[in-house]
Amino acid sequence: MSGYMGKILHVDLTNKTTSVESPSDEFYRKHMGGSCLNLYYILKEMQPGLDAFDPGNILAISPGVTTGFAVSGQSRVTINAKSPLTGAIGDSQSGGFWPSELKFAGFDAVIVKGRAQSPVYLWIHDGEAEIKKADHLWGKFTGDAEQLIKEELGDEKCKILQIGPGGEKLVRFAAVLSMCNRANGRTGMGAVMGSKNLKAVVVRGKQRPQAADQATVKELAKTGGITYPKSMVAGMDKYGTASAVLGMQAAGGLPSYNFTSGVFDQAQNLDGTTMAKSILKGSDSGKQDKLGADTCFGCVVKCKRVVEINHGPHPVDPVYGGPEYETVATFGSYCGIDDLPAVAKANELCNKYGLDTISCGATIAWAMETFEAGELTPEDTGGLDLRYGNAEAMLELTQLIGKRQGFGKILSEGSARAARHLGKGERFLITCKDQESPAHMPQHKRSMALIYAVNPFGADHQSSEHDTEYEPETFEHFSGRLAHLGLREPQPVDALNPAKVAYTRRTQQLMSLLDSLNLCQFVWGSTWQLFGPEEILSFVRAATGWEVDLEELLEVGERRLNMMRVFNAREGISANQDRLPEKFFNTPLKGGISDGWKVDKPEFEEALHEYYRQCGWDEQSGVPTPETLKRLGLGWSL
Amino acid sequence: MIRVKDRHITWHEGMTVADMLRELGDGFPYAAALINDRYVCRRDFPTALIPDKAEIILIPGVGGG
Ligand code: SF4
Repeated sequence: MSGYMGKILHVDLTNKTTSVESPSDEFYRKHMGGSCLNLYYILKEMQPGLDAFDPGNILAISPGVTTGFAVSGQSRVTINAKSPLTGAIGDSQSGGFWPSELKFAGFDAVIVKGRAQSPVYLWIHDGEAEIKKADHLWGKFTGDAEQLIKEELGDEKCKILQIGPGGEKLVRFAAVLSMCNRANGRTGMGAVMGSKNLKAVVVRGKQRPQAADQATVKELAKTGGITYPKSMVAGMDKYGTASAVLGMQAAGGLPSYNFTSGVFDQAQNLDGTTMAKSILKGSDSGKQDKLGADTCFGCVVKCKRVVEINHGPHPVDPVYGGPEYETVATFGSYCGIDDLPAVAKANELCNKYGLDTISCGATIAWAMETFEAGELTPEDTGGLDLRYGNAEAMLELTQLIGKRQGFGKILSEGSARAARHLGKGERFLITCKDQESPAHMPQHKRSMALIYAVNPFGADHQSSEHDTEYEPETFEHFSGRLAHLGLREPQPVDALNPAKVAYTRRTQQLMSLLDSLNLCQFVWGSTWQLFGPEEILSFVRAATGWEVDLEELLEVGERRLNMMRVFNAREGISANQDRLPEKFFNTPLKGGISDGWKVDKPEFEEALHEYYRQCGWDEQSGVPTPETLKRLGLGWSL
Repeated sequence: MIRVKDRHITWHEGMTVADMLRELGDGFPYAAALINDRYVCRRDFPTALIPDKAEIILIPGVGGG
């Protein structure tokens, strides 16, 4: 038994019971962890057609077989359940110290079903699990709940994965947070936790996963440290992911004014370099490199931000971290706001209430565009003036969403449900499967059009490599790594032909593998990241001792995607919902170098069918064929 | 002398961002650069001049985030 702890914790909140399962080595090799492992239990044990808030919805939480070794970018956790936002499978990852600590506590996964009669939390420590009362924690902000739990357990070092008031009140895009600033943000997993009356999962332990080949694991850890300063991710420690703002602006792909434009004139005010100088903790004394960066267990990249603002209208508590690129874009350029302290405040509010910053910011941006068009009025918004650029209104609305009050209650359902409920602004939606699009534009990077549409859990930017890494101009630099995936035909950034579809599908398999191993996509990948496919293979082999090859690993990624499609098909979601918002086809971008860009509908439709063909799915329905499922060892799901 | 990526590079009159990248030699496809806080995007690299003693930040055009 190497790499994994050999124990999966099952929790039934209705019956207040816990049990431990010890799966076979073959099971771990086939699923590895993350969503692939979680989907096994969801497909096997969950009845189709349930509402996402039904106690029968299964909430599955797991890291992977490489989690817990002190190598960069390995401490991540995936949460899956039926999503209350999309009605499809929900899926969300985050990093920090909780994922490795779950393994130190002796478990590879936590599978939760049922609903507690009153609020509870799980206390998992040194191979044991207890269900504890949490009435006194319900309604508390994440920071306050974290302190109370640590005091109650008398353990400052326990790691806490929890929901905030947003999840308790069933905001459909509620997040799950650890350290009060690492969010499993997407698809509303926090609301599912809230529906189960489960406030937190707290972990602590002294066990350690054993590596089959400890020397290679140590070597990988060392190589990461040596390679980082010369790598393409160098600088992430200084400027974080928000340094992508200016890169996107340069390419005309910075979503602005609710995806109406790909440029934002004040982009520099939002960029990671500006953040480093102005609001990062320690920036007033020149110590931001030391105090303003944070990391996950074992990672040399240190891309996480810590913002501290003690003066002005928007004080920010460093406990709640700082905004990532996506957050800066959704609350910033999406909303026409260039006030970085206000954006950092919105990030703090989301982390306090437990909200997904992408869906929250993008939903507000949708409301702003609908307001600007005169379809929403102050009567609808409770008097809020929702014109672009109004940072105060954006902050007020974020709080109202977290509390599910006033106009915030309508927006807490997500923009697509809000549009349908109000009968307004449907043409301004930027949702796929009702999930708001993240900050990478299909009008710019054309494969995003395909991936946003086909992704089983809605629009997502971390499900494949992007077009900019397969351009003839940049290909030379990435060709060695991409050759491992058989990708040798670089394409222009705006192409969506069969070769681009192959690139999208193949790198999607790799990203899907990473979300099963739970490896961070800033460290591991197939192009610009610190480590490429060769190191992924070597890490899995060294951790587990399995004589796997890259194809077997990629098949795990493919298995995960097919399991998700099977889940969705059971819920009536297939090709009928592999759609893009009409806005991407019929409203060309305005201004800057991307002026006039849009997605071509016939080309998109053709790519969709090509993708289904390449995946071995039914070309009309987009559902995996029996042959494909059998090839992947999923015949049991038929 | 100019400073980029924690390295010092010898400056010369008329030095452009493209010249500096050649000198740096890491071959990465950067999307933009900040030259003493002045923002320059990739298409302007061949013409954008760098002043002596400049502090330069290179911005990769990476996905994700
Ligand atoms: S790159 Fe950033 S998010 Fe990823 S593991 Fe490292 S610190 Fe965490």
